[in-house]
Amino acid sequence: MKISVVKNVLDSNNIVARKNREIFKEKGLIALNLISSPGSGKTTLLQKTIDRLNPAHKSAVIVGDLQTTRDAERLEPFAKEVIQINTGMSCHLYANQISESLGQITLKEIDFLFIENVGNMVCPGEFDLGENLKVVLLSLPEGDDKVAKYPTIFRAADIVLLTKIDLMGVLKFDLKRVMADLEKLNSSLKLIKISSESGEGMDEWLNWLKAQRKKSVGVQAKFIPE
Amino acid sequence: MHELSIAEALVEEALKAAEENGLFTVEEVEIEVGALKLIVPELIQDAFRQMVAGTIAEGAVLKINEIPGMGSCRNCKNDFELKINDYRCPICNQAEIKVTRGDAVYIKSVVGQKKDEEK
Ligand SMILES: Nc1nc2c(ncn2[C@@H]2O[C@H](COP(=O)(O)OP(=O)(O)O)[C@@H](O)[C@H]2O)c(=O)[nH]1
Ligand SMILES: [Mg+2]
Ligand SMILES: [Zn+2]
Repeated sequence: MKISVVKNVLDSNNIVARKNREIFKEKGLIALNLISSPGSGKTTLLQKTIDRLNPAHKSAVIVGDLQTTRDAERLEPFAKEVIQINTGMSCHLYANQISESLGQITLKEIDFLFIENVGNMVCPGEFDLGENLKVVLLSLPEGDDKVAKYPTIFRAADIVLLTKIDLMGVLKFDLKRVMADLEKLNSSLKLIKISSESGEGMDEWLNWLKAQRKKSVGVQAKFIPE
Repeated sequence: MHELSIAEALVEEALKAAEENGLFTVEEVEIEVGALKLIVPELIQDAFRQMVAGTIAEGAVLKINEIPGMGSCRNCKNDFELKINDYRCPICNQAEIKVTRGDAVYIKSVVGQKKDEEK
């Protein structure tokens, strides 16, 4: 016999993701999903970012890696709470891994929840975690052809961070090409050129983060000191 | 590479549907694949074959129907087919669109044998 189903194959993940999103709203925090290739500077940027958000804004990090707790150790001195998830064979995080981790975080004390996804430009884009915003990083050493090669993740991005911009003089990187490729996917996409090394772009990024938090949390916002 | 992640979710949902409907074998699963998912049919076939091994769907046929990616322009409401690398509206020349179709993988049907059913 033939059974009609008509079901998105990612339904079970998406249902949990929606629940996560409701929790974030209820607790008055903003959740950001950081997606990029391995080594494009996610952990380093989070260290610098959280350091600068402190002490006015409290941050928690959930970090996914196939193996080791190294990133969690790097982030622990900065974030209020850090949870490392080892995904083993899986190249991305699932919504239920986030929901399980949320139980271990005192959410009402947190303003920003950063989720550092497993380094991979493809699969993390498929699996909604319930985040409010997707932050996609592209580092200069990866090359200026990556937007065209991985369009799916770039069109899903709420913001693109062009990281390691301090290497601009060292590498052959055609910024115009990247901008033109992004323009074709999302004409109003926000792009910040940033370096954890030189600090370029950090103010713009922090201002954007704070503005997004106010926007997304809306009327339920806790008092946000500047 | 993401075919593996998608096949895993697909097989899970197909087996769930089979169980809910009292099937004890699955012979065919039909899916609709949106072009924007950038799925390579041979890769998802391979991944599917691996994932169903050892389940009631072992050896099942995966039937794939591809549909184009469609978008609606937020400026002029024009509906048009999206190119993989270029979402610009042919009228406004701006990529300010809402994807309306072709951005997901859906299971359409599952074929198998039900208990007490003659083949
Ligand atoms: N030149 C330069 N190197 C950086 C920058 N940010 C990170 N790195 C280096 O890039 C490497 C990978 O960084 P990491 O934060 O671990 O990347 P992740 O894998 O995305 O978390 C490390 O050696 C960092 O020191 C930057 O802004 N400029
Ligand atoms: Mg890292
Ligand atoms: Zn238009």
